[in-house]
Amino acid sequence: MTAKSKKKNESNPLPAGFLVDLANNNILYANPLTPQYGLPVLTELKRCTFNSTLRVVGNTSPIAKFGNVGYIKSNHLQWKEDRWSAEISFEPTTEDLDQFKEKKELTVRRAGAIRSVLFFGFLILGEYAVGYGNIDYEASIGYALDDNVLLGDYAGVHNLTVDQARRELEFDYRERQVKKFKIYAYQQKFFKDLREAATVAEVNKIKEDIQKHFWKNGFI
Amino acid sequence: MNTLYAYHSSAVESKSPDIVLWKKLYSTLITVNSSYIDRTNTIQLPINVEVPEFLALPKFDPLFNKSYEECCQSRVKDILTFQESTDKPIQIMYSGGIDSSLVLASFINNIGLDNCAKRIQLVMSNLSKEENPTMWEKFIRRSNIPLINSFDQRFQVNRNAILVTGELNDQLFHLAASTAPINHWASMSQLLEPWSVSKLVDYFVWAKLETAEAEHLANLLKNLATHAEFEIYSLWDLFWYLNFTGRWASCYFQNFLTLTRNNNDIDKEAVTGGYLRHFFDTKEFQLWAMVNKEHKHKGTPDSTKWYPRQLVADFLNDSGYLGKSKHGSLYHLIRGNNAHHGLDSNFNFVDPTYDKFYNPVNSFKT
Repeated sequence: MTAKSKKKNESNPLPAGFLVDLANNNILYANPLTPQYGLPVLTELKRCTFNSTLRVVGNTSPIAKFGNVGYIKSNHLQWKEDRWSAEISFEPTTEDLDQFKEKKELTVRRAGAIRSVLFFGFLILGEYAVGYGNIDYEASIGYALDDNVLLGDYAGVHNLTVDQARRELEFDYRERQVKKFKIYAYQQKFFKDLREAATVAEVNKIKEDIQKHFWKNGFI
Repeated sequence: MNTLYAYHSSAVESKSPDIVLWKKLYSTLITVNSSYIDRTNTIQLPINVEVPEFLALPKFDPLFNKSYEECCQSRVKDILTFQESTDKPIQIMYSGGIDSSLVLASFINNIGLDNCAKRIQLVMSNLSKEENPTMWEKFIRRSNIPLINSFDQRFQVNRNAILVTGELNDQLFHLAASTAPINHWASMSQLLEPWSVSKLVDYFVWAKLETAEAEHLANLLKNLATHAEFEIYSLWDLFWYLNFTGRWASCYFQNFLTLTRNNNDIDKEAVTGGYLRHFFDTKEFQLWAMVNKEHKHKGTPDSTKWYPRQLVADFLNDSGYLGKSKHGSLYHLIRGNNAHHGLDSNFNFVDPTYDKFYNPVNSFKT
């Protein structure tokens, strides 16, 4: 492995591409995503697309590769000696590939929409990222609100009375909680909508709603 | 007859040529998908609209000589007197922008910071701190004024509090829309030249209207200008007057369309009984705007509203505020996910459909 590819793999441990089960036309894996959102998008995408009982596919499984798409046939797989193996080798046919086109498109669109939901959530909450490495001080604020000594420290640092310190920290804490919760509520809604969308057109419509809600309408 | 207090123009179906032409007034001079209702009754819309009595255009008084600051102080006293009769808290919608900063400064000037803490609550967010950091650091933070997080409170007019906003200051100082194509058509110095029908036609043609359409709209504006009780001299004056006369009532109700979730959020008696106070919605401010031209701008596009900005800077003792750019901080309140498209004169939300609200006797028939 070259230094460059090693670095790339460290930032995005999930290899790009798709893994498709031709036995039931399920997409088992999809990672056409930017590294920072790869894992949560994949997690959410799984809920949308994985309805097969086959959950574990190792790199050593018999996979037919075609471009960045890998194919397996789960009904040919058997669990032997700690890994999946195939009794019969196969090649994807043109028909297999055609069947997969719509599903691939749907998956890519879903992934994009999920990424949007996550991106806007990070963007909206980003303004609260404080300190080195985006350390989240929220829990500390919540803790300090119940601790008069810490409140007194804060008041001293900012030349405030303790009541003024409590007032502004409560104000700040409340806003973070409310914002986060509202983002959470809408993320759940949009993820559910995406799970239920059966066509590319439906996914595109949801993506418009996501844009409208989080961006054009200013989130709430 | 059912009439509208406010509406989104795009919600009205373009079923007839007069509606189509009417909508071009929005795309060229006002704002797409907004509400315009002429308080002078010169321009009759192709939908049935109404301006409530309390928002009527005041009669011009050439002898009016109160200053803008005096108007602010009168308004504060008026709201405080109302509070004394109701014993309800005053909730200022504070974004940290020029208008709401001036509102807060006016209250602090009048009764002092300590008394503000007893009588006022601020509806704001963390973004409001960033919008006017000096106001936060020097005044709000050092006070005991109760803070209500705007992310945590729905816009609701009721008799539990006196809601005060900074709305309608734009109509005292601005053109109908700072984003309108008019700003790309001509320089400020050209806009300050005397208006004429031919210049208006030129503008509308430039904005891609057919010549006949351009002439029609230009003549409507001509009627508006020539029926004014005071001199409308320049193109800028005319476009400001369009905003002042046509966007006043609709901006008054705009928040109801975008912020209110359902009819239960509107207590009609609370609105008409004075529990909603757009700070700049007084006869005095309007008379001031009619007689004062020099305070609106300094001849450059970025100098509009320079005067209230200067007042806020003076209050803060912060000359840096004069050069501060605007970043909206209550956008999450102003923009609604499920905005209503019309409010009728009974304070019910309605769809402003063509079939229900079309007015065949209108100024847009060619």
